Amino acid sequence: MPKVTDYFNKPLNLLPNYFKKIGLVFILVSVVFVVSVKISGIHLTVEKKEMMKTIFWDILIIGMLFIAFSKEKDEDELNMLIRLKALASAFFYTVILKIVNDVFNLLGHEAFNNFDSYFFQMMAWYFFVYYSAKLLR
Amino acid sequence: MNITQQELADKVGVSRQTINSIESNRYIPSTTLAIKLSNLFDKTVNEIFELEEGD
Repeated sequence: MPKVTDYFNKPLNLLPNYFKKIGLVFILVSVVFVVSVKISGIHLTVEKKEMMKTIFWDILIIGMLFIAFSKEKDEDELNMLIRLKALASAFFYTVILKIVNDVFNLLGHEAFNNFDSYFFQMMAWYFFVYYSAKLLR
Repeated sequence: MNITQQELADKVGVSRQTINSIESNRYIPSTTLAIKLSNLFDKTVNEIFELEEGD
């Protein structure tokens, strides 16, 4: 039975470090998948194309999620603080991105983001903030 | 005590960069880490760390 104090004293439950490698494999698979479909020149129906896109984004995003939520080899309290700040900043970034996109849309411009790319950008922003802060620590 | 940042980091279970950040005043450690460090140097926490103006 977990104690209530565990909730406050353990900032985040993270995946083991080897999930970074699994995440990397997912990202590689998604990229190889999309590149091979493009190169092969297979003619796809619009529905099939949409399905392929969805699969590509999902594998890519899961890979990024695994990397973001797995322990570093030298995981410690400062690293966790950096992680939590990067997460907060990514949350904020995504909301602002959505609003800016909607304002553009309302003004009659074409939306520059689809739903999948929000998650991609959210995580890209998270990695940017996280690794920059790690360099500065 | 003649000890490298890496050795100190290993002894208290943090990264070398964290020790470096504490030494250069960029990071204030948790109470747990502060006590681990003070135990290692056989001093009290107050002998190693002090409040700054505005803390």
